[in-house]
Amino acid sequence: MNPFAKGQGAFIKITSLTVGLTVGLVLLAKVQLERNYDRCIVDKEHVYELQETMQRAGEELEQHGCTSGGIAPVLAEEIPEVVTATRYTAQFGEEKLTLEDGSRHYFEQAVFADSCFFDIFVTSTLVGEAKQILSTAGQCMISRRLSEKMGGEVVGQTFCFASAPQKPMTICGIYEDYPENSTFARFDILMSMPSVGTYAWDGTENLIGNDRYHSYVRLRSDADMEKVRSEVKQLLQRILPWEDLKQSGYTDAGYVLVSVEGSRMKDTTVRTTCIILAVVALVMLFTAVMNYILVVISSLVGRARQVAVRKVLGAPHREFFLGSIGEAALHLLAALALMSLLLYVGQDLTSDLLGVSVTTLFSRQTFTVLLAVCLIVLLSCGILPGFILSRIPLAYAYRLYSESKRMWKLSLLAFQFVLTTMLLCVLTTIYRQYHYMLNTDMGYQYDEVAYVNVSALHGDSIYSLAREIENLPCVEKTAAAYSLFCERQSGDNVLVPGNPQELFNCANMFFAEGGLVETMGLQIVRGRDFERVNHKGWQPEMLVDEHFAQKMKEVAGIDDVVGQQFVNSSLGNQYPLTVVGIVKDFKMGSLVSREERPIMVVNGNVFTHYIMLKLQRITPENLATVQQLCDHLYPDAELNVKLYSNEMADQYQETQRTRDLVMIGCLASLLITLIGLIGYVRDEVQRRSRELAIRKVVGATESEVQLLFARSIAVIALPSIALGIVLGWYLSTLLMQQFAYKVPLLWYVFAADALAVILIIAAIVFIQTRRVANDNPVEYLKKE
Amino acid sequence: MIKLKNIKKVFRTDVVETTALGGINMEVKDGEFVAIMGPSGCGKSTLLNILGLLDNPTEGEYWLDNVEVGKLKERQRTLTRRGQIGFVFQSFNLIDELTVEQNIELPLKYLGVPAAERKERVTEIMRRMAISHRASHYPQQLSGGQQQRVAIARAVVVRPKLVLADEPTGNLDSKNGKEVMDLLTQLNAEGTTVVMVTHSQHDASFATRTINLLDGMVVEKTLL
Repeated sequence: MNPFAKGQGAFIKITSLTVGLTVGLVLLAKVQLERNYDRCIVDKEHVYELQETMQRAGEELEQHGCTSGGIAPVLAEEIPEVVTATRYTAQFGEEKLTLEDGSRHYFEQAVFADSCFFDIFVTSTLVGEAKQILSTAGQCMISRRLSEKMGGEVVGQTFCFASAPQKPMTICGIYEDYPENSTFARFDILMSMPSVGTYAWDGTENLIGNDRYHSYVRLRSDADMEKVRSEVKQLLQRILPWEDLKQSGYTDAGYVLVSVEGSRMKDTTVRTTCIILAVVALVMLFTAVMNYILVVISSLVGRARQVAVRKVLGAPHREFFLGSIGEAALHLLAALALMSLLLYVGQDLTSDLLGVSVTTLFSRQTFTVLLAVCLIVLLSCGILPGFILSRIPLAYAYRLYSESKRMWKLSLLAFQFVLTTMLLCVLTTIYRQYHYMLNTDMGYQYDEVAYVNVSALHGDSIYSLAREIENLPCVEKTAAAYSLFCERQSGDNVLVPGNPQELFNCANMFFAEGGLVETMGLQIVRGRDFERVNHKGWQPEMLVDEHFAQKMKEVAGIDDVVGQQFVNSSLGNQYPLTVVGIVKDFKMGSLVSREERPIMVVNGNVFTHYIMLKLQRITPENLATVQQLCDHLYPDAELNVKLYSNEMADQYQETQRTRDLVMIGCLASLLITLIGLIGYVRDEVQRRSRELAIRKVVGATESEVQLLFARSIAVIALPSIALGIVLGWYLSTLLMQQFAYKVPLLWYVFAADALAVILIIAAIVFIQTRRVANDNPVEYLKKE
Repeated sequence: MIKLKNIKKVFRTDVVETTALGGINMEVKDGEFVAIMGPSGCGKSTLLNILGLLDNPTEGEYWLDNVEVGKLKERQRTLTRRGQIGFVFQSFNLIDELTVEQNIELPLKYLGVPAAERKERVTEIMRRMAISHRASHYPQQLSGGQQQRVAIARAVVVRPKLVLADEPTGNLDSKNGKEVMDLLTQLNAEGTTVVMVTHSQHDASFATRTINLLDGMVVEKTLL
């Protein structure tokens, strides 16, 4: 049997297998990479992440992944079951460093890590003595990737970060890059823990507060977890400042050990995304296999005689099985070759969509799964057609084979309709959610807002630059600020002066200049805006949101916070802050996670990292004007003017990726289904051409002939689409769990999805049957 | 009932042009039984298709019941054909997936006859054609003669004014062939106009008039 013989649908079979395998295998590889996340943590079952727990009177216990700096080493010292412990904390990211020779190099992330970092997060040390480097202030190790980018010969050289230009760091070692599917993939620089004090407040020995560290411990393999937990509890009772905590209003505090094994998949977003991707992948593979079998069944009319003749001549059944599997193997190989070509051509797109490179996708980590899938595809595409071929009766050697196998074909089509509808529903939901995220009212206006990261400048320069920018005719207003609204803000506790009890935790935007309210389109509902502080300086006054005022009323019974003084835990008792105004509530952070805390910001131009600017209009010319000014005034600082809306879109990159992947899956599934449907209708038209001609002769109009087909498809399509809607609704519900702010699932949107699928099917059926419905029926009767 | 004026039919492909009918002029009156004879390829079936509104002539006029129908669109041809013209083919052309009863009922359905009346008319015609006992059988379970009787029942169930038969006995033995010709004769006697294409002189003898075709032209008309 020639696997590429004309009339056997080889092109359709290979095309649908290629589409199905490309999308299916890529997505399964991505899921497998997620399942293998952080494989660099060896002996995972004995590694635990430390998580901080805090509870105030009358409030729920809060648990989060960051800890204070000193807790991990204390556990290593005091708990015998702890073999080793480490901690790290991020400091710089996505900026440039300047080497001694003046060359500048972009890096992803720079973190402080202690000397035990590599004991738990294993990778090869290529140059240097890791423990010694990471214990020595002013020394660091860099990734192989960064060293290669910098020219290779960099050990011994010093550099400065763009945002800390006067503080040199020496490169003393190089480590092998962590795999892309790990927490540490973007770590380019590991700075020694004793260097923290050079760049930030040193809280490396803190047992409570300054909780910016990620801490991990490895336990002995025979450790009794109950015993360890009890020992940790006893230790904390001994070492934590309980009196201070109580005075601050805490009823409980501590650390719990959370196993890192499977922790990635416990994350709702990751788990949901993986489920969606796995479903899309399986849908694609299943649809492609179904389509393959459908085409084989459809092509039996042209093949039956040949098979029957072979049987008459004595061919055993196994010949058809082996032939069928061999044919499927050749088609599969052709599809895999085409898939490789597609991935090679579209590797950048694939990397963008999945956040990992194509080489990582098809690496040793995923090989077994992908091979298993290919084998299943091969057997599915080979065995069932082989079974059907082996059952073709001998009589067809001399008779026309017109057995319809309609139920087979319609069942396969039904599956495809279900899956395509389901994916379309998920796609619509995720598309609406993404649109909602980008367009929902955040409580502030950023359509005309741009910003410049000015971490590389000092306070005075920031103030001057902000005013220079404000003087441009295309700029309406500017304000320097410590953070962007869409970023996750640090937490700070709020107190009434003279009272040690911490009332509540709020999102502290730290400092921002007068003008922020106007620049970001906030609304003052009571009191006044900040008055701008000249040059580098600050005023002990703050703006708060309505939530803050409401919370203060509930917790402290203060009816009107305007004019009242409060203390925050960062600035301390010596700097009480007066509330000068209340702004209307707005959404801080992103819509993925809800910011539950009240918000505060202090009036000042210190520690500001950004200049926010509201343009008359966002145009390339206006942005270029601002950029030219920045380049002119600070040519060495590499300041970049960026759109705030792009920053917002970046917050939803994962959602966008999922949307794009589901869209590709949906389109591919639709394509395969349409190929299957076209093939089915074409074969049915051919098989039933005589019947149709007779119907026309006895009085059926062309539309009645077309309706006959449409009805036979509708019988299977409508229930399938209904089932697809139900499954799509379920998956959409699952998908929406990951968003704090979500679009409602509307029945009529799902109805529109169903209608779209029905219309597409109807269009295919009507186009395909148009010819036979319009042709002279006698032509078809003659063929008989 | 039928009047053809200079009917021509030319089949064209990319490379060749074939004249099937070269200018036919003929007339069939109400209640006639006309046989069309001629050698293979002379244009008999083409003529019958044009008469049955299955195809349009390339040129000329076709008047059916004083209406010019030679240039109708496909849909108009179908609507005109419905209920007016019945067809009987040499190879029966029954739908294998439908029972005898369903096959006969089909034209009534397309004509929009209500279900109760359909049932009544189908039962009546099956009784008349002596195939009532085969009502729920499928065509392949019937003999050739029975299949042709079903085909005739289907052709006449709508009570057409005109029945067109294309070699109706070509696939039957002489006994079954005679039964079919008797049925057509009976229909004609009841007032139905019958036009039959045949190779058989014997079958043509049942007709009241014979039209002979040769190379797409009427060469002789015989009135019996």
